[in-house]
Amino acid sequence: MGPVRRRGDHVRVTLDRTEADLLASLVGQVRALLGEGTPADPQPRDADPIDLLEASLGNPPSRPEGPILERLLPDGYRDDPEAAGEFRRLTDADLRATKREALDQVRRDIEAAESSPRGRRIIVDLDEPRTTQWLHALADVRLALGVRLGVSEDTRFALDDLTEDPALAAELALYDWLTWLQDAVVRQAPV
Amino acid sequence: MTIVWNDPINLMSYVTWVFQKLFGYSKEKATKLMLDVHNKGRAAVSTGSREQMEHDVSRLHAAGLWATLQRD
Repeated sequence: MGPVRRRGDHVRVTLDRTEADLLASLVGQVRALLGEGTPADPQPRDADPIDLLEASLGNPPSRPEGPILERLLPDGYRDDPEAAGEFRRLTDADLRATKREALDQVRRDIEAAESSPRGRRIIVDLDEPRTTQWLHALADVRLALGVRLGVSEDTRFALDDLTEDPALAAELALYDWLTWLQDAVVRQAPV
Repeated sequence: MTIVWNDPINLMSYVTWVFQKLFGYSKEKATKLMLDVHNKGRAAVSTGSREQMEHDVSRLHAAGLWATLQRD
């Protein structure tokens, strides 16, 4: 019996409490990168709708800043900045909201999870939509960490050989653990 | 069409699952597309109207895949 098991249509994940806390912290960090829920600016009640429309058209979301956000929120068109800008204007707010929702869901699931009898482990039981959210959130966390670590096609995680820097070694170990977890969940996930 | 580009971070198992989940492809078709992405650097994963392709690209971005829309 592994820590990630299929139960009917559900996926049951058992994590050490320390691992779960770490994961909750990581999803929180990536979520913070994606910004707050952009509450609409209060508009004067008598504002002309055409003015409002023009204002929103005139302020398309700018390209994301920094390599992590560029990877989490990529351009929809290559080599066509105008089409990419238009695509971003149409999709950016929804995409960020969808990602924030998945990341928040993982954190809530961890916070609400039952503890094992001795309290050292937690168990989360994921239905199908929740499993999808977990996999999407794990993908985003691995992307964020992988970009920060400069993971490339040639990266081999021979941890002992790579570094004597304990902080970097810890991040690499964390990335490895996330890789294991995502793969274990995807192998049990319903399609 | 919708193009998915290779990236060094997303797992082969995960990319295959995303193709099955999003497009309803069989395991075989999804695996073949994943291998095309991995080995050739890119694969066309869906075709259709511009509106449909923009929807697909957006869903792939939500899953963390690197996708773009290409006009034929």
